[in-house]
Amino acid sequence: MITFGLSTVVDVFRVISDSVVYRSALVFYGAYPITMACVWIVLSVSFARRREGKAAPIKAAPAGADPRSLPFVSVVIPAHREAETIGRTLEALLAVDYPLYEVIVVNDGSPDDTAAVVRRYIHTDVVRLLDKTVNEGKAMGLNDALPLCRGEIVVVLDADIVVTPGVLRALVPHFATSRVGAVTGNPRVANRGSLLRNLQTLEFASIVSVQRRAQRIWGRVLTVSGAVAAFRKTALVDVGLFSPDMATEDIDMTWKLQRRFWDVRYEPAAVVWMEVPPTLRELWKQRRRWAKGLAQVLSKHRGLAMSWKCRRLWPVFWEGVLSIAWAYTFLVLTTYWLVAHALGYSPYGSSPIPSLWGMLTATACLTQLATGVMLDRRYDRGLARYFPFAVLYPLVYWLLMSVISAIYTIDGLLRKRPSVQVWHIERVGVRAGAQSFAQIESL
Amino acid sequence: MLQRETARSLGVAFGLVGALLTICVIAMMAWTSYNIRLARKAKRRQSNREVVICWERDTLGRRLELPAGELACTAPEVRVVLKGGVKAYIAVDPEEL
Repeated sequence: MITFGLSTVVDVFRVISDSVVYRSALVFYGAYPITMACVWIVLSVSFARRREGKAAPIKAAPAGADPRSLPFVSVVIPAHREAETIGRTLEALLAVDYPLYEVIVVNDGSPDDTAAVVRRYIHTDVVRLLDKTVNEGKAMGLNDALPLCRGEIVVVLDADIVVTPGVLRALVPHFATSRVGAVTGNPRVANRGSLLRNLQTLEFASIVSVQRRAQRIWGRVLTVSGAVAAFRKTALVDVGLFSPDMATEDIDMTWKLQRRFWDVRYEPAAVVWMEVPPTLRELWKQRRRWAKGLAQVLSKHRGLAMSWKCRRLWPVFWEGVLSIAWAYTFLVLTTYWLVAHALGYSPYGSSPIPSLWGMLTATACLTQLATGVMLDRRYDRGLARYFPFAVLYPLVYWLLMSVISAIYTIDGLLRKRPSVQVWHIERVGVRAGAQSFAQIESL
Repeated sequence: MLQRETARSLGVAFGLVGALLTICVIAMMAWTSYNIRLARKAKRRQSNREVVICWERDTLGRRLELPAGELACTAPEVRVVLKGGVKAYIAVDPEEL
């Protein structure tokens, strides 16, 4: 009876293996990463040649420029339970090489000493404090700070980052073009050291930065960085400010701006140093939020998939959809192969020994990672030494990210959104981060 | 691994990757030039659209009470207090700091 049952199951697996659906899934599974790696490499190199070379059309405002020729900038930092990090962030901001700016820290109902730490910097006449008694989340904090901003350009920073002195000079010149609604900067990982953090270092250089460069050539970007982005205040008001109900207000804002035909740009020279999640648990939580957020945004803006008016957003929209579809394909195929092997059946394409196509996929991934390291090493000189970790990227990281993406996309699509997404922060590894920031100069 | 594969399968694989790369380059060049053409032809917006900035209500529809005059933009510390559906911004007296 058991033998009959097993042979029936194996027969079912054999039928699946011979089906058109399985073969199509296999082709998609192999072709998608290779195709996208080709796209990202070609376009990011094109961006670097056109926008980062000597003939770049936008250059940072020169250090000796007349202050009257530069616009006033308001830097807004939403903060919740950041007493241990906000002082370091403000110290770096006070050393910024820009004549006309203010820093507004939004203390969003923190139960710790965040407000007290910020008050120590008020005497500088640069730092101001917006003290909210109730935790209403990052989006509401940003919206609440806007009426206090003196500048037309609003730079949003995370509370745990350290800016480089030239960050405002790099971001601001883009706003000379009146259709520019936002410019995103280039966050780099400061707290390196463990395998997980080194993989994230590589990811930010070789996946995030490469994709942003490529998307700029597409004409539209998937998202501005939540860690560092500059916005035109008029544009924010035009699109109805940040949405407090979205898990990732930065992705949503990017799409809202672009749907209203505001340009969103990427400025790789606007470098900031940030901390990445040091533990698997923290990384899981962060990526859960990102996966949910992307699913929410794709669902909210699904109408543009067929909108001719918004056709410039099609590449970004469909790439987002396909990346989620690939995560599901990856998971379903892997599960199918594992079960099939456990039953003693080996379907086509399931060999654990890398086949030619497996090697090609891995090579495409490594070539993309190498391109990212090559393009970003001018902003992060120590980056090349993390390239050996790239071997683990397609093996470990893809699996992890696919699992998270597959699980939480459904969550993001099906679960009803709360009216306000409030802060849930647990600070982990702050001491390790502080040491890393002390070492930034040597990188 | 390369020794396991036949010359034909290697040729097919590398040929496909080469074709993919060529298609990517051509498609991206076509898309980019289309974008540029679109920008030139459609006379993309060159000036800010008329946007009236008015801080009367927050994103959740609650009424805002801001400090009078320039104080909202100059006070070193502002407290936000929610009372009865109103979001009040209270400038903290510098003497208190």
